[in-house]
This record gives sequence, structure tokens and C-alpha cells, in this order.
Amino acid sequence: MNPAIMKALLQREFLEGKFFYVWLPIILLGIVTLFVFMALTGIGKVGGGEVVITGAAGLAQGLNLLVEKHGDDAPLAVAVAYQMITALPWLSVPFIIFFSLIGSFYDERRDRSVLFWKSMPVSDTEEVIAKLVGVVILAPLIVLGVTILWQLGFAALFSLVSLVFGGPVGVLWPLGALIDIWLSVVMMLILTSLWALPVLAWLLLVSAYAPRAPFVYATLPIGLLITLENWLFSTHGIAKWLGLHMGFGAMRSLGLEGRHINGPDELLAEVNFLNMLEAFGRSLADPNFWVGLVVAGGLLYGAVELRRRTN
Amino acid sequence: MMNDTDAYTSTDNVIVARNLSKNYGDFQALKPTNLDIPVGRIVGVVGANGAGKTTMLQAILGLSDFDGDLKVMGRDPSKERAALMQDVCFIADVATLPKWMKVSDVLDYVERVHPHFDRAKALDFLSRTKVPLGRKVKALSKGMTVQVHLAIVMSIDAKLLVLDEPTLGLDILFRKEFYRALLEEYFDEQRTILITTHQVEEVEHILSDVIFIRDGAVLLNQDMESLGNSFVEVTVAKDKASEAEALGPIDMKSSFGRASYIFSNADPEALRALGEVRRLGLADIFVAMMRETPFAHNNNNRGGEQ
Repeated sequence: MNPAIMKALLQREFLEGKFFYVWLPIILLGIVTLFVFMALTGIGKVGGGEVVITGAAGLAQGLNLLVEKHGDDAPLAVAVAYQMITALPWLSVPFIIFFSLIGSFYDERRDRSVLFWKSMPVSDTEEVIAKLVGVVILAPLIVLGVTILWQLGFAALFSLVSLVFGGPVGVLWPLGALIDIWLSVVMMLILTSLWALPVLAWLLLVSAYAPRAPFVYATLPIGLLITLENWLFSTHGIAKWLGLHMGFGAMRSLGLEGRHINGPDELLAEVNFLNMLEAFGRSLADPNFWVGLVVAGGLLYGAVELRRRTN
Repeated sequence: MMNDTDAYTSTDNVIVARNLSKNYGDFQALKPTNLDIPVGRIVGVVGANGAGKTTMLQAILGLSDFDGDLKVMGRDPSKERAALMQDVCFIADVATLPKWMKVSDVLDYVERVHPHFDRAKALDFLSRTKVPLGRKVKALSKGMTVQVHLAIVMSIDAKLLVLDEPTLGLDILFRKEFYRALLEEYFDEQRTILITTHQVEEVEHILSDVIFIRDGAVLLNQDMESLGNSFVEVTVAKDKASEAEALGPIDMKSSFGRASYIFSNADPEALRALGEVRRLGLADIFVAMMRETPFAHNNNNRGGEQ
């Protein structure tokens, strides 16, 4: 693995996916910003958890109340509210990952550019790793970066409003809580990606193989297997396995089972750097986690071999 | 002869194939072929569509698996494509440049991944064209796309350059200019060029060797100099027709009451006695060899290296 080549490939991935990684979150957050401005002028309301904007004066009053009521916990409530207000781009991320992966090696065959890429001293293994890292790690990190910028922008905006309408300003800059959440999001991304690796690797394999309609090739066989299992054995092993790797395993490792969680704001308040570390520990101790990684390894090897053979 | 890459030296053959073949199910796209292509040659690969040219080139470039033994600069292309591409450069199809990239992005990318790419040289080639560097490839005309790709491969210091129909879609002026640049600014005795084209007349003068392929088999693999000597056309008066046919022509055509016979490796003295002897162009030789005439069995060159 040549680091300079990997860097060049990731730059290429960024360039190719720039619209979905950078501009789409900016557009979505632009729409959110519009609603925030409307809420500040008293039209509708925007908020998350304990912080709700209903008019500029309402924001200032609400913040005064929040500090009064929660004291030391107020900064965390504000940090959670920032996450909630800027959460919209995260809804697009699973779709971006899914469609980028099934399109990756399919599109280059369809437009013949595979023959150009293959004329360069870049191995099929490097290409597969670059697609995986570019789509699964780089893209969400960029989305995170954009949301962080927006959160800081909102902090500045709300500080100005609060200052004018007699509210507190310090509570609007909960940097410690924010940094903790951002780090936790990064760790959550890594953890969920590792859990989901067999599914992600399957999508890459399909894109390296499917002669047409990679979406159908990716989903139909799995759907058939799930149905067949249900008919023959009346069990749901495959569906459960998929669920485990597409979110449930990572959530379970957070150790929140049996706890009463009302909505994403309470979940966010429960997630911090320390319990993310614990979640990693629990995942590493879970045999299902390792089985998934072994399956993913096999599928990625298959993707490399298929990419080597197809033009 | 070359078991590992260390054993390869620049004086060896760039391409060595033994029983190289490729099957798609029952269809034999390339019949067992032996090839030795030495360094410092410009080899034209000529054949009709579907004759097996592309199959052979894809094996050489590591784009497909194959049967038999094949070494390109001492390496197995199907296993070591990435390493090979440091010294091999190719254009395998028209319009393969990524359409979503700007021309300058493409240059950036090649500069980052290719240790032997000279950006200044590419920019110099492009400055002679009307290609705007800031434009996306998909917005370029077909001809401009080809110009960009050619500028890139000519700026890579490769030992082997493979061009499959490189000038398709280009106007005659650029084609002439391209072959001039290829010969004068790119080619030297350290490099080898493998080129396929339908416009045989345009490359004829730069080729040092030629390979004819038909139905997956190499029919002929010869250097241009001896090829010109061995294939001749003799225009024969009607009364000498039987004499001519006795000498074993490989092809015959008649017009205005006179017959022209094409001979390969016939006795020059005997031919001169028949009538006017003329050397043939590459296209005529190709046509004569490809035609299934009653005389085709006389062709000594049939079967190439087999």
C-alpha cells in the first residue's frame, strides 16, 4: 500500500462525491437556517430537547429558564440542541453510502473509464480500499465537519440574539460538551462502520460484478433468501443478522438496553467519549462482531478479484 | 528464459508469449500464439473487428486472464498489472477518460499516482490544441478527448506504449501531427510501441514490424522491410496467366483484360519474366492475405509463428 497513491485516490473520491458530501449537507442546513430565521422572527418554531426557539425574545427567555432550572447541565442540553437542529444532513448519509458503494465499480465499467484507471499504476486492492474508505469514512467525516461549522455559526447567531434580548451568552458555547459529542460521533461512525462492514463489502462486491442494475443485484438475492428462510423454517436468522450489523449491534454495545430513552435528545445526552470506549470494548468481546469482520474480509477479497477480472 | 522480474533486462524481448490463448466458453477468441516482441520496435497489429486483436492486447495489459505463458518486461500482467503500469502505458478504447473530471483534474490525478509522468510535457502538447484545461471531459468534443488522452500517454516515460485505434475520431491534420510527434518526440530505441488501427496507410511508414490476426490466430508476424520484399504484385498479360498460376500466387484480381497476381516469397527472376513487378502497400498485403481465394492455400506465410 503506497500512502501517496492512497491520498491521490481519496482526493479523487472527494472530487467525485463533492456534491453529495459537501454541497448536499450545505443545502440541507441552508434550509434549516431558513427555518431558524423564521422561528427567530416568530413564525413557527425550531428546537431540540430543552431548547426551543419561538421568536427572538422567546429564545432569550428560554435560555434564562434553562440555566435557572438545570444549572450545570444546561451546557449539555444546549450542545444536544445544536446536534438536533443540525441533524438533517445525517438522514442523507446512509443513502449516500449505499448508492455510492453500489455505483463505485459499476459506473466506471459503464462509462469505460475503468480502462483509464487501470492504465495507471494503481492496484485493484488500493482501488477497493480507497472506495471503501472514501465513501464510508471520508464522506461522513466531511458531513460532520459541515455540521460542526453550522453549529458554531448558530452559536454565534444565538449569542447575538440572546445578547440583544437579555439572555445568557456563556451557556450558548458549551465547547466541552460539544467536543465530547463530536468525538463520540466520530467513534460511533467507526463502530457502526465496523459492524456494518460485511454489508458495505457486499455492496462493493456487487458493484464490481453486476452486469446491470446493481441495485437489484444487491438487494434481490438477500430479499429472496430472507423470504425463503421464512417459508422453509419459519425463522428470521438472515434478517436478524442483517439488523445486527446495520445498527442494532452497535447500539447494543452502548449498553443502553433496559434503560428508558425518550427520543434522540436523551440518547445523545447518554453518549459520551467514555461510554463510546466501553461500547468498543463490548463490541470487541462480541463474537458476532468478529464473524462480521471475517465475512467482510472474504467479500472484500472477492471485490478485488472481480475488479481485476472485469473491464 | 525469464522466471522473475529481476532477470529482465532492457535488451530482452519486451513481450514474450508462449501458447498464449483465451477462451470464452466454447469460443476461442485467441488461438495458442507465440510472440516475441523486441525492444525498440513499432509493431502494427492489423486485423478485422473481432479477429482477436483486443483479446491479445487485453492479456498483454493485464486486463484479462489468459491461458499459456505471457511475460511483459518479465512480469505476469494478470498478477502484476499495477507494477507493470509504471512502465507500460495504454489507450485501450476511445473516450475512456473519466467524464466528470476537469482536464486539469485528470492531469492532477496522473501526476499524483504516476511516477513517470511529466506534467510540463503534457501541458506543452495540450498548448498546441484548443483544449480548455478548465473544462470537464464530458463537455469536450470526441476529438479533444482523444487529444487529452494522447497528451497524457506521450508525457509518461513508459517502456511499452499500447495504442488501440488511437486516432479514431480525429481529423486528418491531427492524425498526421500525432504520428509525427509519436515518431519524432516520443519514440526511441529504448521504447516499444504496439499499435492497432484501421487506417493502415497512415501508420505504415512508422511501423517497423507488423502482425496480422484473423479468427484468433496470428497469420503473419514480420518486419516491414522483409515484408515489402516478399510480397509483390505482378501484372500479367492474358497469354501468360497459366505460367503465373504455376508459380503459386496467393491472390489474383483482373481488370481491363489484364490479371494481377500477388506472390509471396516467389523467385524474383521468374516473376520479372512474367511482367511488371510492383511492391505492395501494407493494406494490399493485408487484403490479399485475408481474402479466401482459390489461391489462398499457396500462402507460405500462413500460420505466422505457429
